[in-house]
Amino acid sequence: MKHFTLLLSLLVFVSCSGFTGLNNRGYTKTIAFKSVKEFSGEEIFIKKRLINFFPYDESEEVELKEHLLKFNVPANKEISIYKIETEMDATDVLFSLIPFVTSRTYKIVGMVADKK
Amino acid sequence: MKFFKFLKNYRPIFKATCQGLLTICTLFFLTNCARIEYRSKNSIPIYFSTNMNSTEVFEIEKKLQFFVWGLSPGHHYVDVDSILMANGVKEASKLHIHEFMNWTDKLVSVITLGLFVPYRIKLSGLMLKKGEG
Repeated sequence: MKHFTLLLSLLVFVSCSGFTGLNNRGYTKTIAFKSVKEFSGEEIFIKKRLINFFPYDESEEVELKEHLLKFNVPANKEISIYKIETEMDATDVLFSLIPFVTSRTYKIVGMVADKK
Repeated sequence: MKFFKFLKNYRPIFKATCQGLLTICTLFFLTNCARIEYRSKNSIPIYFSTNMNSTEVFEIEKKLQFFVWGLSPGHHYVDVDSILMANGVKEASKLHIHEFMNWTDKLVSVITLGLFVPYRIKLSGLMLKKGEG
């Protein structure tokens, strides 16, 4: 029981810490964040697992540019992101069992839409 | 007979392995720490890209609370528009979302053994200058 409590507290301590983020650097096309009622155009789905090796490693971020360059967006269109979800899935929990390692998964859903 | 002797010899190792596996399985199911969904209601224009009109930097921090290793609430919805509007932002560009826990949050999590897990999000970016828009 003693070990169980110790492990549990360690896990909560380690797995929930860390810094993660989402940013856009260097991608020049318009990326809007809005709720989309009518779905049209090519769907964009980005799934990225961020692993921090120390609790205060600030380097781990989802760089939107890296993922969005794969999509061919015409000049008269923009990218509309309508859902950003961050969670710890089963793999993240497994990674987080390792001391000083934290893991978190980002899911970003959007589409290529007409500019408004 | 040999099999039972074998079991008797390795009983402590077997017991420890079972306990370890049980602990890991329990933790595995209990730790579904902090699922956060960011969404927009289209109340104000928000862009991840740069908008030339927005020049003033903003930084907003919000505290989220999770209970029972993040199992309650299973899903935390963050209305980005509402938070920005409440802080006087009329249009945001270069939005940057940052998730973190500070030392106090971690300490609280450890003391409560994960029953209460505070979590912080920081929204930063550029907004229209005050008085504009």
